[in-house]
Order: sequence, then C-alpha cells, then structure tokens
Amino acid sequence: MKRFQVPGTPDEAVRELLGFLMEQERIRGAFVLAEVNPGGFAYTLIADRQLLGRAAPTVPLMPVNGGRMVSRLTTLEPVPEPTAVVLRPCELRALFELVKLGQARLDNLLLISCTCGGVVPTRSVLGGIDPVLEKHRDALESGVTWDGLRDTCRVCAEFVPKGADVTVALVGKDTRQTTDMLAETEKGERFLEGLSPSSESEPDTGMLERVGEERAGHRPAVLDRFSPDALGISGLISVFGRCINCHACSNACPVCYCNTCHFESADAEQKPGTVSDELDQRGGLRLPVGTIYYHVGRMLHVSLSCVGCGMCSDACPVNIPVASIFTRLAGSVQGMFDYLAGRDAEEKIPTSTFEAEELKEVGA
Amino acid sequence: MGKIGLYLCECGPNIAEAIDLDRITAEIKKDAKVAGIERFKLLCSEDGKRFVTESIKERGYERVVIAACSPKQHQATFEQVVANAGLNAHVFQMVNIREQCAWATPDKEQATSKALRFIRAAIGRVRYHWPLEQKEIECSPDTIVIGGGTAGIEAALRIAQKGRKVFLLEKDEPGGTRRDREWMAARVDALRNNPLIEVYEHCKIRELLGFFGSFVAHLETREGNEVQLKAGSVVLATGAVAFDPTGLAGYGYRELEGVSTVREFEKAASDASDGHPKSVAVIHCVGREKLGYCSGTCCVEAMRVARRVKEASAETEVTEFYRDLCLPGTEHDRFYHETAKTGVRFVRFRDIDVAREGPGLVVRYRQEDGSSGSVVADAVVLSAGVAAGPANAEFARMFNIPLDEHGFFQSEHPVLNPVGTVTEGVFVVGGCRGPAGALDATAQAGAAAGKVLSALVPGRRLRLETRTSEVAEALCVGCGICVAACAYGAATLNEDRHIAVVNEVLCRGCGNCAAACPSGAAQHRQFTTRQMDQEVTQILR
Amino acid sequence: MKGKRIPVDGSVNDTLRSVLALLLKATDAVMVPSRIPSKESFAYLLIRDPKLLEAATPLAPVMPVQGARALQSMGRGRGGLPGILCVLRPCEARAAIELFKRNQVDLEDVLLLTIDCPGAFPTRDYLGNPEEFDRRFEEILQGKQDDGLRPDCKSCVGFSLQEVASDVHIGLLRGKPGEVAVVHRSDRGERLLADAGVAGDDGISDWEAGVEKEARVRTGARDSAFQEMKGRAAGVDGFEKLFADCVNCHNCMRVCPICYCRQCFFDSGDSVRLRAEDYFARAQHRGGIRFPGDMMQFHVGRMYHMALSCVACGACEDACPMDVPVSRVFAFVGAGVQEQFGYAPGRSREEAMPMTTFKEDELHAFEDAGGISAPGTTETQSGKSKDQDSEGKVE
Repeated sequence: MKRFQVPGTPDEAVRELLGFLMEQERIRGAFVLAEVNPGGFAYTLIADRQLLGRAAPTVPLMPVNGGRMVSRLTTLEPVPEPTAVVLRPCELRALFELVKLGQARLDNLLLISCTCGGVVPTRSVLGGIDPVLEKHRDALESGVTWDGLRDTCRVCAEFVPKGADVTVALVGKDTRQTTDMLAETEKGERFLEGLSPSSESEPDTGMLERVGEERAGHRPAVLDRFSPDALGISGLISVFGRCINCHACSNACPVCYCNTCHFESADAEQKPGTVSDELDQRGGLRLPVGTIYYHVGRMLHVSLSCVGCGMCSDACPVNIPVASIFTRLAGSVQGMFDYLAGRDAEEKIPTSTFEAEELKEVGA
Repeated sequence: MGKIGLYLCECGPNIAEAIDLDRITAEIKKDAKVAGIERFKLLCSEDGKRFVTESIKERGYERVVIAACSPKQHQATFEQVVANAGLNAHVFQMVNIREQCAWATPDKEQATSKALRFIRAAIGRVRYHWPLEQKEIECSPDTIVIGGGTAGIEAALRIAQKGRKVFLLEKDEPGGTRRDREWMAARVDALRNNPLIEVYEHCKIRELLGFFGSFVAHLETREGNEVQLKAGSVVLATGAVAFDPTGLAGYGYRELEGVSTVREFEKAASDASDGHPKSVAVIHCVGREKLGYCSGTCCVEAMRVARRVKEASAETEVTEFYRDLCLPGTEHDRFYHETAKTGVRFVRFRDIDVAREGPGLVVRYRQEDGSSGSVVADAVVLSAGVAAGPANAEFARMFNIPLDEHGFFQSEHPVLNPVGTVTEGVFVVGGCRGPAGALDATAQAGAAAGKVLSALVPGRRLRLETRTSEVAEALCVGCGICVAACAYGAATLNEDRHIAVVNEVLCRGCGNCAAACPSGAAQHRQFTTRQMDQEVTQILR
Repeated sequence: MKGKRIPVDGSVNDTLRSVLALLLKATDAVMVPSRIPSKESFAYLLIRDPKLLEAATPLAPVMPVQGARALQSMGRGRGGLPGILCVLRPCEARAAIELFKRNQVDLEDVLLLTIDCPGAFPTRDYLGNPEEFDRRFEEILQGKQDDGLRPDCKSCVGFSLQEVASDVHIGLLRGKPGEVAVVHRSDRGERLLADAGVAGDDGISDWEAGVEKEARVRTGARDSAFQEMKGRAAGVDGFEKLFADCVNCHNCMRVCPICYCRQCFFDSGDSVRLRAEDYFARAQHRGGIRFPGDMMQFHVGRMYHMALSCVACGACEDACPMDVPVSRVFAFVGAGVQEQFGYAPGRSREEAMPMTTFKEDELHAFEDAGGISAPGTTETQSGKSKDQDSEGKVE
C-alpha cells in the first residue's frame, strides 16, 4: 500500500488532508469529529473549508458512535456529493453492519480510519480533555493501552481498520512531527494523490502483534468475568441489579437500529390484569417491569453485530458495565459462526443465511 | 424521488411585470431540484390548462408546483388539471406569487425575493407529498327532526318528499309553545297526514351516534319499545322555554293571587266564564337582567294580551308597563300603534313593584325622570323572556356542539352558516338556538331544509375531505390530548386498544390534533412534519 | 389537621416499614422503594407477600427511578390494577397525577402515600460509596443539613403535602427520638387508615409549624436558584451556553416521568432520518452541522411539551452524563409557565391541564411583553408603534 507522509500531528495532518481534498474538489463535505465549542466535541458534517480548522478526529473521545451518525445521514439515500468520513475502526465496522441492515449507504463516501489507541469514557473528562491528552499520546506512541480508557478499548483486538480507503497510523508511532496515512484501496490512492510525498510500504506487523497481545492480557479482568459461564443467571440479574430500565444503552448503540425498539413498543407493554396475575403467582414484582427481559432480548438482537465500541457503558446513568457484558457475549456468538461484525460490508449477517450443517456445538 | 415540474404563470401583466421571472427561473435551475420549469402567459385559460395537462404527461412529471394566483382562486382548477394528466390531485402544490408577492409591494426586488422563497418552499414540500385517496360514503337521504314545535314542523314538511323520509321525535305532542295559535292546528294536521313523515310522540331519545350521512338514533317509544332509526342529517328544533319568574323580587309571582304569566293568563281567560277583570296590568321585560339578553318577542306578546283583553271587554283598563319597546319590523310597529288606539295605556318605567292592595293588586312604578305613580289592577300579567331549554346540554354533549353562555345552541357562524353547526349534518333551528319569533323559527327551518336537500340527494355518495388527519397506532398511547383539542368530535379514544382514532368523515383537516400531539402520532396528511419542516427551512434560509 | 403520631423505633425507615406492614394488611399490595439484593442501590418493589417488606426502604437516599414511571410501567393506565398503595416522594406522586390526566396511569383502585422528603443524593455519587451516603442520609433524617443533596432538592418547595393530591401523608418530626405523623388526605385514605388501625386524632401543629418553617427556607433557596438561572439562561446565547456540553443523548427525556410518548418526536424518523440531500443543504448553508443535530430544538421542544407538568423532581439532571443543569432550567421555566396559567401539576386529579382547556379571556400578560402589542395598542417594547416604519410615518 502507498504510504503518504503528512507534516504535523495526527489532527493537523487530517485537517491538512481534508483541506487538500476540498480544495482539489475531490470532496464537497467532510464528516469528522470537531471541536464545536471550547472543550466540546461532536461529529459534524462540514461543507465550508474554513470550518475544517475545528476538526479534531484523533481526540480520544467518542460522544456518539460515528458509524451510527453516518447511518443517520444515509438511511434514506446516499450522500449527494463526495464526502470524506473519518471514523475509528469500531465505528467503521458498525457502519458496515448498518449497510448490511439497509440502514446506511456507502456510495460517494471516502472512508478514512486509523489504527486506534482507544477513547476515554466521556464522563471522565467532564472538566476538559486537556489533562489526559499527553498521557494518552504517550500511551499511544508506546503502543500500550492505559487505565483511563474505556474497558472495551483496553481489550479491543480490532484496532486495525478493515475496509477503509485511508488509514491514519496512530498506534505505536511517533506522530509529533509527521503523520503517516496509508492508502489501502485504489480509491484511497486516487484521492490522496498529490497530498504529499508517498512511498510503497508494508504494515509493521510485529508492532501490531505486540499491541494485540498487551490488550489480550486485559481480557480476563475486563471481559471474561462477565462471560455467561462466570455470571450465570443469578450473576446476570445481580449485575443488572441497579438498572433503571432507561434504555440509554440501546439508544447509544450503533447497531440498535429499530425505529421503535420492540421493548418500547405496545407489544412489550403490560396488559390489564398482568400485574394482578404476577402478584397472585409470586407475591411481588420489581418495577419497572421487564428489565432483564429487555437486556436478554437486546443481546439476542444485537450480539451478532456488536462491534464492542463501548458506547453503552458510557451512556449508562448507573455505571453498569453493559459493554463488557455484551462484547464478551458477542465474541462467543460471532465466533460460533466464524463471523466478525463489520469486517466488510458484504459478508451476510448469520441471521440472514441458512446452512444445513452448523451449530453442532449447541445441538444436543 | 419523483420528477418535479414547476409552472410559472405570468398572469398577463399581473405577475410578469411585478416579478422578475427570469431571475426566478435562473435561480431554480441552479438549485437543480426540479426536472423542468415551464412558463405560461395565463395558466387558467383553456390553452393554459391544456398546456399543463399535456406537458405533465409528456415530460413525465410526478410532482407539480404551480406558482400563480391565490389558491382560493384556482386551487380547484389546477387540481382538476393535474388529475386530468393522470396524477393524484394531491401531489400538486400551489404557490401564491400574485396576491402575496406581486400585489403585496411595488418593489420588484422584494416581490421577486419573496416569490423565490415561496417557490423553494413549495418545491421542498412537494417532494414529500403522497397521493391521497378520495373516499366516499353512501349516505342516508332521510332526516331526523328533534322537536315538533314551529321550527320542527316546518323543517319536517319541507324536507319530506319523494325518496326522503323524516322522523320527527317529540317528547310530548306536536305543536310546541304556539300550539294555541289558530294556524298551528292545520300545521299539525299536515304533519300527521304526510305519508313520508313518521311522528314519534312521547318518546325518549336514549342516544344518538354517528356522523353526517350516517346517524343512528336509539329511542324508546311511548309504549316502551326500543327503536333504532337511521338518517343522514339531524335537525335540532327543541325550542326554548318561558322564563320562570318564580322567586324574582318585586313581582309577587306565586306569592300574590292574581299575578300570572302570559300563558297562565290566556289559559285562565279561555277557561273562565265569569266576568272580565276591571283592570289589567301587563309588565314587560320580566327577568331581563337575569337572562342577560332581550328575547325580542315578549313585547309583542304582551301587546297581544292587551289586544285580546280589549277585544273581549272594551271597558277593561289595560296598562302596558315597558322599559324599552322592542318592535322589530314594520308590522310590529303598526301593531303597536293600533294597540295604543284601542285605549291601551303605555307607561315607561325604571323600577316597578307589585303588591297586595285590598282584594286586588297595585302596581307601583318609578319613571326615568324620578316621578312615580301607581295603578290598581285585578290581574297582573308578567311578560317574561325566553330561556334555553333544559335538554340542550344533553344534546350538545351528544352532538359535540357548543352552547353559548346562555345555554342556547351555537351555530357555526352567524352569517356564513347560521343554521349549521360545527358538527357536519347537524342543524339547529328555532328557539333552541336563541329567542325566535314564529317568522324566524320558520325561516331558519326552511334554511336548514334547503341545506339538507342539497347536500343529501338520494343516491348521492358523499366525497369526504381528503386532507384529514390520522393517528399512527404504533405511536399513539391514548393520552387523549388530541380528543380534547378536536373541535369537531372527530377524534375519539378507543378504550380497548387505548389509542385515539380519527373519524375521517367528521375530520375537517384543521390540524389541531397534530399540533397538540407531542409524539407526532397524530399527523395531518397534507401538513406532515417533513412537509412543514421543508417549507419552514426554505422560507427562512 | 389531626393525625396519628407514632414514635420512631429504631430508624425512620424501620418505623415507616412497620407502618407499611399494617397498611399492607388493609390493601392488596404496596409499591415501595426497596434495597436491591446487592445492597448498592434501590428499586421499586410491588409487594403482596409481607416477607418482601424486609428490604423496603420507604424513604431512600436516592431516587434512581422516578416512582411515577414505575407506576406507568404497570400498564399505561389501561386499568385492571388491584388496590395498590404507592409509597412515593411528593414529586413522584405529583408526576403520577399528571400521568393520570393523560391516561397513562391507573389510579382507580390505587392510592398514593407521600412522605416528607428531605431530598435525595445524585445517583452516581451514591453508587460511588453507598455506605457513606447511607450514613449521611440517616443524619439528614435526624435534621442535619447536607450540601451533597441534588441541587433541585435543595430548592424544592413541594417537599411535604403542599399541593399534592395524595391519599395519605406521613410527616416526619425530626429530632431525637423522632416521630412520624400519619394523616389522611382523602376519603379513601381515611378509610385505609381506619381499616389498618393507623388512624389517629392527635394534634400535629408542631409538625405543621416545622413544615412551614422549612418551606420558608426552601422558598428562599428556590428564589435564588431561579434568579441565578434567569441570569444564566438570558437570551439565545445564554441558553445555548447552558446546553453547551449536551451530547443530545436524550437520557433526560428517557427518565422524565412526564415524557410519556412511546417514541419521542425528537427520536422519530421525521426528526432524525432526513434525506442526505437535506442534511447536505443544511451543511452547505451553515458551513457545517452537528450530528446528532437539532439539540436545541429537542430541549426547547421538550420544554414546550412538558413544562406545564414539570414537577422539578430532578430525574433528568440525575441521568445526564454531561452534568448539564437540565432540571434547574426546566424547573425554572416550568414554574414560570405554570404560574401564567395558575396551574400546579399534581395538585388535584380533577384540575384540567391548561393544554386541553380553552378560555377566551387569558394570557393578556403576553400581549404587552416582548414586542408583541395587543390589537389597539401602539407601543412595542422598542418604543415604536406597530404600524409605523422607522421614520415614524404611518404605513
């Protein structure tokens, strides 16, 4: 693949890239995380070159899953003009899942991603992100995760994007002066041509392997203790004990795409007489009704597409480690079908395929 | 998402000279949202209409925007033109660039800018227009008339003809409050002998449901049988009641012997065989303050009493006590002068008091100038006003029509729809709608009959308003706010499904429900969120 | 007013629990906050089996779920609920009544029991150290002040039985040892207390005086809170600044008891699934647009939809991940609009909502405020006549 060396830190380099693409009229819009007010970050669709100065794509923050936002933009139709979107690998995978679910379109999009060093929980930097930036950059450069990251980031094995046109190399790289951008596809090469000096290059597999190993080391503490075996039903109930059934998790989840969630629809509501029946049979009932039902149901619905982004834990108002539970489960479930959510935009989701011979391990 | 065709009408010089249509064409072309821009001198001419229809077909437009005069002028015209081209009339949006732009200002620049915004808004909006189904219902041409008084009988007689039956429902017997008039007996006969009119006397109405074209009345006959009647329209003619002066200070009604109401006096007079009173005092305006309005008929009625007394016995002294004489029209004025000529004395009073004096009564009065006087009388007749009947409240609830502050039914509009109500197919005539003399009651009944006859022709299918509201069942949670907001009774709560339902026949498409609904479950079919969002966005850009 | 005075035996919650045990005998079931098995938080339990009362904590240090929402989850007012006595904070009871007016809560056989509320801690703070906050809450119940309570709780003037149509109220007489006062507020409440043997005719004027005193303190706090909010929220800029940190997650709406829509309008396809062409047009027009967008429209729109029924319970702010002062803003606006209509949410089941009543003669205050002149008047706020152009000529 072609490696383009762009002067500047990663944020500066991406701004440079986007500015170059707009100036050359190769794109008419850029979808990227930006500083929308001092200390406040949000995804933006920028059409005015002058606003590109606000782009801050590598700030270690994910206020919403960017893939979900690109889906919102392209649910009904593709973007009318060539647009660059800058997303982290899990956001890109989520976007690919949504494409397969008919909720997003890739036409006219230039997909830019990065090797990802993770993001911090939004609440941990309420006072401002500056205090963590240096620590984060140091960790990023040395290729290790640090304890300020989201749990799911610490164990993420998919930190190298699949299916991007351009990848910004962040992990294990000194990016103080220059930033490497790798054109992974022919489209990527075409768009980046003329950006800066370029050369043929191979990925640094050794470094990336080491990074993967370090992350795998955190799995027992972060993920495995939430496995179905470790929890059991009583553990599951206990870990969701303080859940208030607010559904913030499903609202934040990129692959929860239903217009009206089944668990919020009329079908899921209590019919007259249900409460009396419950009291008769069990003598008591926890309210609001249907908390565990909702979580297990959501597991059923999303685990094949879960990309482990960690938005759900971030959104939970009572600090339940939803992402750890779901990511661990998703890993098992996807594994059963040799499926990895979002590894590309074509591979069918197992719910929509039929194989006569499969799931032997679940069979009697 | 549907090719859009934009038509710009020059309207002769009206639009062409006041608005820079070239500039509009250039800007819209740049927006690149429409497939074609057509300009024509006069779109409403035969040539123009033909041009639109042909070009829609030729160029394959699926959505149409016509920028021309006011929709009030030609919306219907162009809807037909669009329909003739094979499209649904509702995928078309009309823009007023004449009255609201060309004619709103002499400044061509401003007019053009405004027109541009309007046209962009319409183009944005029309992309979200969808074909709307024109629905029809088969209506019943029959009518239910409630109340067999002056107005009710007139309505029944006028409506009943070949192909239309009338069901007249009366809680007592036909005749109403004027049953003692000479002409009423003949009217009641005509009513009873009409083969197309079914009279239900002494019946009780249990419930009345339905809507224009399809009402159902449940009633209990005098024999106790349950009967169901179907009709396409309802005429409410339940009349008014005489104001009851019981308890009113200063008149001595029900306290002093010899004080009676007009009705009681007339009845006693017709029963009495012995002698005539020496002196009669008739007091007008009884209960005016309490009622709060002039009933318009009681002055004349009071003079009628005087005339009858004088006819029976010319020597009897009759004094008419009045505050203001209400004499609408030339006949009543003449009546007054003739009455005065018969020797009836007219005294204007400010305050009045009736008291016992020996075996008889004395009427003491004070006039505007402060002077006072008194009249001795054997009989005091109280001419009181007219009040709303007690049944009005129940019928108002049944039909979802409002009562005014005095309890009378409110018609939809005193000028534009004086006998119709906000509930389509329900008419209010006669005393139940406000104090009415025999002429008024009869005229109103005739008006209602006319409306019924023209709207519900036998065999006619009623075209319903297409631009109505609907409630999405999946989103509705049955809070009932839209039901409260609907002025037409078109939104109701289905208790079983715990959702609101819009009756498309009753819905007038006002959009109140859509505005009131917080979740967007209730939406107006031609003012959806997306359509309005587009309009507002384009206008404000 | 008269009630039954009961001395506190053990802790306040111990006493409340024993009162509840008696009441449970006279009713079908009881809905009460209860400590969850892991002990680190609380959840509403609907209880028929008296053994389950062991975990009941009628007055809990936190309010993770607004009680009215718990009530609503039992079936959206479709009826069929047995005779349940719901133990609620006054703001929860008020919200329940507002939901009842919207057919979302069934109150036919359901009774509402309110308790004097000293306030609640922010849920996240509590979850960080449950034992510590439990201890602090006990001290608060003894009468101690604590600055760690939710901001809205500190300025809540509806902390007792003022303007809430509950059926039974339990007042707290703080001190060592304390007492509780059980009073009935309705005929049904009176019958329940009598049936349960908890009726009494004791004088409770000392408690009433205490409530009045506390009300004065809270009113003062509320006035300053509103003054502060008025300053911060002034103008579009001020208002936007208040919501600068908002990420448009809509958590506030999710936990709000008054937000009863099955799908919030601001989550609907019409709101968030626009055509890419339309999104692009917006971005081109303004240079750039945020995703998720329309954040201010969401807040102002939600305000418009529910502010008349806002009971200032603070659930919204509790759930906000970005510490936006949502409840303080909404409570301020809510109080303002409620005053315009002379309406108090939850004060009475029969009081119709302003939204569904029509009065021809009202809201004259708005005719003269902010540049809108009433027909016939000539002065607008800017001092110019409505009919005059800037040179003073009549058009």
